[in-house]
Amino acid sequence: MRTWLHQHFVLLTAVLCLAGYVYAYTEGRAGTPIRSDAFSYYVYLPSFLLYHDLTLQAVADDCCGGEFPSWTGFMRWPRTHRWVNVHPIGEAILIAPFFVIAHVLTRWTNLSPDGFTPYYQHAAGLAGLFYTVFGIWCLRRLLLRHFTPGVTDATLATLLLGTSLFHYATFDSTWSHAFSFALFSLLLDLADRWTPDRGALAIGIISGFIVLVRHTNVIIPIAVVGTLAISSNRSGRLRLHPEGVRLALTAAVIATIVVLPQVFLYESATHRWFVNSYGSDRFTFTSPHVAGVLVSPRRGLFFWAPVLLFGVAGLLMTPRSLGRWVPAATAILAIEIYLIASWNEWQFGASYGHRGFVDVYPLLVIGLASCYTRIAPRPVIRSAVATLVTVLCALSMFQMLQYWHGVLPMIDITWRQYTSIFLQPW
Amino acid sequence: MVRQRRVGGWLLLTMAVAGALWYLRDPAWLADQTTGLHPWQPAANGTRYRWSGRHASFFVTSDATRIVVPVATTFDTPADRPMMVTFSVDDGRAARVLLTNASWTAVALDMPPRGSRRVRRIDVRTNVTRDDNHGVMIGEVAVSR
Repeated sequence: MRTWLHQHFVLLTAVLCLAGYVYAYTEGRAGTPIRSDAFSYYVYLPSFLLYHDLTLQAVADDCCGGEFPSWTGFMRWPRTHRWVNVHPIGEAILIAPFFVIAHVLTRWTNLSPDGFTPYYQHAAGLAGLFYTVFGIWCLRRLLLRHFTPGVTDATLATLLLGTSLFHYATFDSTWSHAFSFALFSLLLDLADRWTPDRGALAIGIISGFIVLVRHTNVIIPIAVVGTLAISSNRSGRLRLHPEGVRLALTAAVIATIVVLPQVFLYESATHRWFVNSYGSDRFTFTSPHVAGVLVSPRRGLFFWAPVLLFGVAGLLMTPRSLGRWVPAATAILAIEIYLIASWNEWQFGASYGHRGFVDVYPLLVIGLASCYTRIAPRPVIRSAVATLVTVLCALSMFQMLQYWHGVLPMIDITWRQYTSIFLQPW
Repeated sequence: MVRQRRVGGWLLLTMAVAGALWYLRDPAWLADQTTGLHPWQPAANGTRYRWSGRHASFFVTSDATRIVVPVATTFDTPADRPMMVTFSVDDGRAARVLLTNASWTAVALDMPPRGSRRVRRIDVRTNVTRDDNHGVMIGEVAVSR
């Protein structure tokens, strides 16, 4: 049984996510997949591929009478009067293969080929699900090189069921987080098995896509590729690794080429090469809400996914073969926490758990597996931790369903609210 | 044995895809699909209508030989320009009318010969919209068979 589960782990993950997706959309709680932020991530596809329009105006005309509604995250650039999308094009590119299939099916069924009828909607939704499962597949490949199959499966099951990952693979699968999670997982896997004779092209492309999906995630490829460029000698002193430096330069050039279409898009809309597409939204670096994003009931990462504390603790217990990634992991986590906590809308709007951190879950997977490996030989502690993690996963899934059914508020939840609806069914 | 199972798997998958495509060519649920239409509202004369956006679509049964679509829009302010409304049937242009006042206009669309599907898609597009992305009011469609 255990062998069968191990052999079919990714398939089971896909089936479980698909079941969650079907439940979310047949119960009618989720609305349509292309909604809220997802609209602005997706809108490039109908605009470019159906209307052959780089300005986004044709979609605005067709869907919205010429002006995108205020909730969609577009602004007219003051000097050019052209649309600037708050979200970049990376996710749309990743959805494109699914979009093409949806368009062919739409023609086949004779639905309106406007980019928003049901096949397009679920192509985008299922794309997010696909990329989440792909990310899990990448992480599994990475973990199996360093940990036992049992630890690997337990780690990934904990990640899927004990954090908001399942939610962002199903209910909110069209948000960018599933895509960033998959790209980071792939980058980590590629970087971990990188050899000087191959891998630079793939690492460069993936790095570029990470930036294209979410610009602030540029710190991820910098830290990961930087780790390959810097190595320590026997005395522990850091030194540049010539092959790694060559990789870093090659990857940087390739990543820049991948990002160029976005830069040209900004330039064509604003006549500027670099743009703050968020307009008046800003970072407040002098007053970050660190406690808010880590432990508060409103959006605390560890409040809503306490199993990740094992992941943080585990970063201190990584096996020697993964030890080189710990400084990068620490740097990425610290910078992500500071950036997210400094954003003026630090809750990131409606979200189950703190969605900003889904992108960096792959780092905590290494810690989680390291932690499980450390406790595996100690039967009493192992049983206690297994029981605790099982309870926390069950609680996370239950609370996620509370969120889906509207029992949990989507934003601004207080401790009093949380306790008043704790374990309250829908 | 392994090869036989693999071939069987591919065969099963091909049959499933072919079956799904056959079903999706003309599904029954298509008749109820609409896009770009607001909920029905009662009109002053006892009939009902629904607002379109700039682009709306709905389906009628393919045994119809002619349909009549009542449309109207508002002219509440002097700035409200005349509105061009374009109708198409299965992506082929069928009619175009210019609304210059607030009265209802019945637009007759002669339908092409019945094809292999059970429904036809009607698209309605307007060249301008009123406040809040409102295009035309579309009344109950009369179908002649």
